[in-house]
Amino acid sequence: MRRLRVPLIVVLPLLLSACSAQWFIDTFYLNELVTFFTAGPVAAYQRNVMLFTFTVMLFVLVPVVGFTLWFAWHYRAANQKNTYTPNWHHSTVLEVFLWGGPVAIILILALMTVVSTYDLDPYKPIESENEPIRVQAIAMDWKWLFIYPDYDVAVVSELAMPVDTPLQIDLTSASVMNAFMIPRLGSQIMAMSGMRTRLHLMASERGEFFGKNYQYSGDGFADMRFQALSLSQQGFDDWLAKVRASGRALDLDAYRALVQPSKKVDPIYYSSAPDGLFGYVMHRFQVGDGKVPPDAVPSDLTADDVAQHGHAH
Amino acid sequence: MASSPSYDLNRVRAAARADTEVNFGFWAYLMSDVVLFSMLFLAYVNLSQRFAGGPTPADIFSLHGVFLETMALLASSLTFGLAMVSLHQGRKNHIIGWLLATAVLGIYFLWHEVSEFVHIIHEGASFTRSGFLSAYFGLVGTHGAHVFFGLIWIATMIAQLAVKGLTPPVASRLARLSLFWHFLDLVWICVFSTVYLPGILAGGSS
Amino acid sequence: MFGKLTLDALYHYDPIIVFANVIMIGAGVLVVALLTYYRKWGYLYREWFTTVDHKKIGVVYIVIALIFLLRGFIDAAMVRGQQATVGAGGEGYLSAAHFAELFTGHGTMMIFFMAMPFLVGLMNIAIPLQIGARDVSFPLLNAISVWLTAAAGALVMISLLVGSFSEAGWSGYTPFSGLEHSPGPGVDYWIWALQISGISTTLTGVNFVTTILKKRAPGMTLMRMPMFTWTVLCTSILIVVSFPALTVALALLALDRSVGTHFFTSIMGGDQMMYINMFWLWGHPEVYILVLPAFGIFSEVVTTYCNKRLFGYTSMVWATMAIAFLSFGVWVHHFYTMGQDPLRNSIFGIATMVIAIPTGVKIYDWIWTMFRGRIEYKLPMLWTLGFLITFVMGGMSGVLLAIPGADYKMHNSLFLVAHFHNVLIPGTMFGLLAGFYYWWPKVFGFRLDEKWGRHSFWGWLVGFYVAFVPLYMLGIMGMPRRMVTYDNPTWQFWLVIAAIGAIIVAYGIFSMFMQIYVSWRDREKNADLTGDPWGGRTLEWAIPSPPPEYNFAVVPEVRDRDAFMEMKVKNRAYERPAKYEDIHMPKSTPLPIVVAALSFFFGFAYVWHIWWLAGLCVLGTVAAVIARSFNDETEFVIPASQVQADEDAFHARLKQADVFTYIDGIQEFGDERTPAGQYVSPTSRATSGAPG
Repeated sequence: MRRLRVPLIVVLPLLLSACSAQWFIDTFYLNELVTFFTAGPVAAYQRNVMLFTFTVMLFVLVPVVGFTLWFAWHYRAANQKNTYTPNWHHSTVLEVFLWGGPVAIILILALMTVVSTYDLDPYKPIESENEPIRVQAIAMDWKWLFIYPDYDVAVVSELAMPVDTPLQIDLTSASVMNAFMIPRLGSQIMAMSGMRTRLHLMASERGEFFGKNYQYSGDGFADMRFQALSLSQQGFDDWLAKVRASGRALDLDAYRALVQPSKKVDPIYYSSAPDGLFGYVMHRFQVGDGKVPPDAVPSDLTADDVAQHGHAH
Repeated sequence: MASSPSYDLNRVRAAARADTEVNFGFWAYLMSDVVLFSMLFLAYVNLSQRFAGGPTPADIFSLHGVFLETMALLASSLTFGLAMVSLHQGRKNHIIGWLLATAVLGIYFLWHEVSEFVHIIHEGASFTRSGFLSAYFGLVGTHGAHVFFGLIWIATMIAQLAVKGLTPPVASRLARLSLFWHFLDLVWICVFSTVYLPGILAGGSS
Repeated sequence: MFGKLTLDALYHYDPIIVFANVIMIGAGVLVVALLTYYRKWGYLYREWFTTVDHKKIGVVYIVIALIFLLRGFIDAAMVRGQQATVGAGGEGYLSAAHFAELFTGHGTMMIFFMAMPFLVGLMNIAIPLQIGARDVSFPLLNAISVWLTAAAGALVMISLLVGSFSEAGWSGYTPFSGLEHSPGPGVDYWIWALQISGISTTLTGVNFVTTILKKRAPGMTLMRMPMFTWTVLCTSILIVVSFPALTVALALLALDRSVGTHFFTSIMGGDQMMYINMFWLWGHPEVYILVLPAFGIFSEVVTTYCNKRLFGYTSMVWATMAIAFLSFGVWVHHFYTMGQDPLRNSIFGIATMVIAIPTGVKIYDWIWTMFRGRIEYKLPMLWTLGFLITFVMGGMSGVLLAIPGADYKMHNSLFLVAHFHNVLIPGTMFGLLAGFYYWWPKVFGFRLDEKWGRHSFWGWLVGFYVAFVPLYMLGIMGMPRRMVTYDNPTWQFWLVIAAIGAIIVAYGIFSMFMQIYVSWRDREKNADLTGDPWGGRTLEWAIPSPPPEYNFAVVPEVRDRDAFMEMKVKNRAYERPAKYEDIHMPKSTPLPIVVAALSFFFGFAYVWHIWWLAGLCVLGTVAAVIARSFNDETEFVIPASQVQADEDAFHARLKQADVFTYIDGIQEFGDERTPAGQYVSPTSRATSGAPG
């Protein structure tokens, strides 16, 4: 015992400091648990779904682990004093509980599932005082192109939005299947060629959040990320001005150059983008070989028309 | 297993029952084939409107040819049924005769199908043209391949009857071939009513 | 002449692949040289390559599984190594393409060439013995299945040397796996390896459905079947009904890639989502194909080592059937994020969660089997406890992911990767390893070493937590799966821990091989004289270890669920008839290896578009099968005198081990309660040699 005392004096302060919350957070990077540190209503809802489910599931976990360890210890063969009933194999009362327990838990979760699935439907607009901003996202090898049809600009690898303003993002792909997600804002959705999917997101605080393609898409996949900028209205206007100042137009030639495979692409600003480019890209997959020819985008082609041929939703 | 000199008809009949162990196994295999075809039907139904600007069913199907094909295959089921009746009567030569009739009808069916394929491809509507055509060739072609292997099997069984006579193992194989052949007939009826009938009806009304 | 195959296919830019090839070829040459030196080729051919004996076929399956366990694990370790060392923004020691081959190879090999063969191997070994049969329904088909699996595995192996393997992930999503985005031979290797092994598995399914429904010993009604037999029946039905979906998906993908059809392309009216639907129509039942037999193994293990009847047998059977049935109604949960309407997502989400109900019931039934038992902590019981506690967490994260709202967030992240490893490693791998230890003495006649087995257990268990808890964390931190590099420096901390976990698992795997070696070295000491080393309850323990070729000298009559235990209690175990009879058994035949070799060359030829060779292989297979069908002399006779001699020797061993005294000492079967202190553990008897 004496020998133990010296180390304890050394160790105790360390232990105490170790027990401080900050130490845990720093050591295990707990502040990086972006799923819990949400920045928008969708992600917050999803966090609550997960925490609720986790809590309910504790009613499974605790008894299973508890009974297992208890019985495993108590009924070990070495402990010959215990009751031993080699033929006992049925108890109606017990079985009612064994079936009833899981059924009850799943009933609760099923109810929550229906409600939350409808609430979190990515196609459902988010209620807000502000008018939603439309964004058209095209996944390429290996970067994201975001077109803002309301502002006639386009950006690669950067997605800006005013805080507390919903985004209505339409997605398609100019290549393989991709999945769009900004973890701190919530909800992932696939982008597929020839089809349109839709996602509604909103940031409720300002900041920079990372976004990524989550579906493996080839060599440049790991670096296929973008920054999502949640700005004040003024900041967003400044950002738009900056994009427009680039003076680079996204015409079909520029588009065809952009769509070539490239990795680790830094933000590119386009001061204008042709109407209907998004729908035209989809359309070329539905009727042609998926490549965009150098002539003009047909003016009579709207994304909604094209989407009718698409598959998703 | 010692071979019996002349065949014992009761053992032959017993071997041809549908519920022997080996025939039960063949039922299980047929279940897997049912799923295989359901997947192809699923693919066809899913892709049946995806013409990619290419030809539609009304452009390439002709009811006349398909009707003859269908009749030939239905008749071949009948002739195979008669072969099995002969089996239960123990008449080896009758079985061979009915099997030959079945084979002729099967060959007619297959010849018809292949010439239809060639005709369609010559019109520029090959399986590379659109999702619809891929699915069409995939489904009908898989059925055709099954018929082709059925014909090889029929030929093998004719040879076995000639060489070995109507032994219990041969009778048992004939029972399975019979299941297989009727199964193909059943699948064809589904093909006819999923692929040709709606395709041609849609063409007629437009 | 050689299609697309040129010498370029042998050129590898990556030194790691060159090194792996040197090892692979070196090992191959060494094995061939040793076999030649010890003149074992004749023995191998007669006893193994041409055998139709289900027990030997089971062993071949498990050998294949162990080889691919090593390869699959090396792939996983390299993935972990890359992610742990690459650091934020770094390049790492692996190229993106090689990294993709590794995660694709890992998933493909672990599912198709480790878990499936392991499982089918144990099925082969145990099922005919458990139901009192002399072989499976179709022994020749069984042999064809095993060698087809070997041929498919050989295709995976050869892809390392000639060409490359797929980079499209183990699920091969279109359009990435289409020709435009994956022009190399990798996806074709993947297709044909899966196709051949899938056909092999379908044949196995047909075989075991028939075997279990048609070959049970008299008296074994469905509700008297051992739980393992029940789960294998359900799995076999699932195989028969689900594998054709994979066959079609792969065949159509192969057509897209080789003749230019448009089933799954993104252009010209193809439908990329159709592939994903078809793949998961097979893929989700596949999860239960893998997990149900392991559940069956846990049931056998729990009853045997708790020395107690299974609690809630009827519930277990219904739960198993329910899981099998429901497994077909949940496939959409693999792609909630593809933009279906919330109604569809809700339905599939609830269907998925509902599976948790029968699964939960099964878990409670095992727990209540332990209640008032006499639990002996042999290795399989440890695996079972490790399973119970670990699996429930995998189940929790599974229910979480089943909720579309949560899945929108966690899909494609490392959370998902952690979840399915958390289900498959305890659920399948622990079960397989428990079964491995449990049935090993039955096959080889000696028990496996306990000490190294425990090292293996703790290596796997601790390694699992250290490797996968970090992946849960990383998933919550938003890290996607399949990243060759990343720019978030905080992720590296957890990735290093995960890599340490992989090293601990490596120790578990090493210990397992040590266990096999040590047990083989000490096989005399560990010999199982009685055929009943654990005080077993089911029929496989009623016969010698290793069993004679014909398994049962006399087909037993079953009067109880725990058929052999009932015999022991009623003192009719090891009863001998007045007179033995001749036994007909199927002859060995080289047809299976011929068909398998032709399939291998067909696959290889298709990969490289060597059409003449592919055609020849098809013709050869058809010709071989037709030729075989003319041969009705497929059986040989084991004379009654030899059966008598075998049985005499067995009974001499039984007397030597004093088994009959032990049987006399077993409590009356109908007794509910046994006075404390009177119980004699059969296992302690087997190890100490004499009953107390």
